Amino acid sequence: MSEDNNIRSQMRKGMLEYCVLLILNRKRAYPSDIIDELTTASMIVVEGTLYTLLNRLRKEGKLNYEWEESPKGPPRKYYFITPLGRDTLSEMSRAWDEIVENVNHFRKLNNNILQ
Amino acid sequence: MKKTLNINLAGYPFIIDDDAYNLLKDYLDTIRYAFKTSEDTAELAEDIEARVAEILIGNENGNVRIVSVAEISQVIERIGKPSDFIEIDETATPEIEDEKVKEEEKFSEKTQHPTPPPYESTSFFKKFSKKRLFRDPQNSMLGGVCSGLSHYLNVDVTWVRIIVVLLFFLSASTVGIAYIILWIVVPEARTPYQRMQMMGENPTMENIGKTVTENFQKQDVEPSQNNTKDGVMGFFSLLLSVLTKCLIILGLLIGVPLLFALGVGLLGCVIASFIIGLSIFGVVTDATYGFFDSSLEGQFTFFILLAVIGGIITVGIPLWLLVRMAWKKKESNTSAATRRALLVVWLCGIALLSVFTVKGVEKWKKLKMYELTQRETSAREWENSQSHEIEEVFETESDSETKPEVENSSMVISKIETINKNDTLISDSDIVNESVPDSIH
Repeated sequence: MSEDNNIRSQMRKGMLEYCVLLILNRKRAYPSDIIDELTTASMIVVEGTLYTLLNRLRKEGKLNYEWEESPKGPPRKYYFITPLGRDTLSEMSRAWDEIVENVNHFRKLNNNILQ
Repeated sequence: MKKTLNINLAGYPFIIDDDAYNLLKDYLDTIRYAFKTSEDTAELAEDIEARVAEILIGNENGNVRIVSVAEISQVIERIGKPSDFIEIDETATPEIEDEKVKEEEKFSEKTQHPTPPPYESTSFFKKFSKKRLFRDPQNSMLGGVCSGLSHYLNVDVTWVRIIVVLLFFLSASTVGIAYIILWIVVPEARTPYQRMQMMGENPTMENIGKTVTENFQKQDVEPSQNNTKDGVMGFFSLLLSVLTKCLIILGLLIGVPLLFALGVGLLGCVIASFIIGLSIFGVVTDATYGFFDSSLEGQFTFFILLAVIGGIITVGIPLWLLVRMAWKKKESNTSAATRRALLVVWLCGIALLSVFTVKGVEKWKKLKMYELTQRETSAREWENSQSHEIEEVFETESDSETKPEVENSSMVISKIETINKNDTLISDSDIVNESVPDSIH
């Protein structure tokens, strides 16, 4: 069980960046929005991960943020994707398709043997 | 009944439980420490703080209520310990990345061996050098010096305390002074990070996360522990309360006069330091020590007065503190500044007591000697006058050799008088030697 969890968390960690870029490509969002989406898709285990990730992506120039007044409470940080981020995203999408294709290829072979 | 605090978390107001506040503060401090290496520590910590606030607001549902420990621990579980999410930071410098790789290796090793021996393999000296000496405020009797030392030396606190108390009596209270110096110099372990340094644990993210959760568990367990005190503890607490009540009564009897004495003592300190300061600059001569009463008796009484004031301070301050501690039961709320000021005054008191006791005794000896020499000189004068008469009788016949001798003797007497006035110590034998030629006549 714990082994299973470990695998999942490792895979999630790798894919988190891709998912976050996908979300932000669709719309501007502030961290809590992103967390909500990721949680419903059970893509995130520990919320703190997102903050370090956002911080890193911003430093790499793939994301940026601006302060925006919120209807209640203090202003919020709204993240949006940059042109560089879009480039990375399309590259990632390509890589993802490739990986899925390859993995599916091996899975198919495996399934054939099993049958 | 519990204390609550009003806090401002990322711009949102909250009413929070005292325990919950401590836990949250520990957690946020840990995050701040964990991201110490990255450039925008403050930003990340603020973001996470804002997230904590948002989660709490989400729990609120529009009702104002008090944030509890359970809620905070839930939030911590959701956001995660720094160890759970620091590894993802790949913008770190290569050096740190190496460390990260090592950490990961360690981690994978750990997953291979479900129960790895933690730090047992490290040698004693390695362990020793990793530790830092802190005062432990959580297990303190007085300043936490003994408990800090016990952590440092890996010995049970009780033994350290027993040894210190024994040494205190054996070493003529030198150990007491050493304790006070350590109290001032050695820092207190306040943050989780400092506590870990004190215990000699490796301050990695994982460990800090562990202490935070441990603290949480401790806080969760403690109240129930308090309720289930067994008979022995109950007896001790009863004994303690009786003792404190006795001390309070004693304090009322002693405290008020002591406070008065303390005031007088402080005044004495100020006056003494003023006079000493003036005499250093040569404005006032030695004679002023006796309030313009330059006689030996005056100086003697003044010194003894100062010594007594010093004595009152030396005994009074610890007694007063004891009474205060009993009064306020557990932690006395004296601030660090007051404690230090009291310490300085106390040391002044000791200095006054020792210096002026010595001076007073010196004066007393001199006084005795002065009386003695005065008696001697008066006796000598009488003798001299006798011999003068005799000499006068014989002078007409004898040669004038004796005359300068007589002059000399009178000079000696005047010299003695001036010396006494100037208050320099003359040994008895000197006077006797000088006066020998006279008494022969």
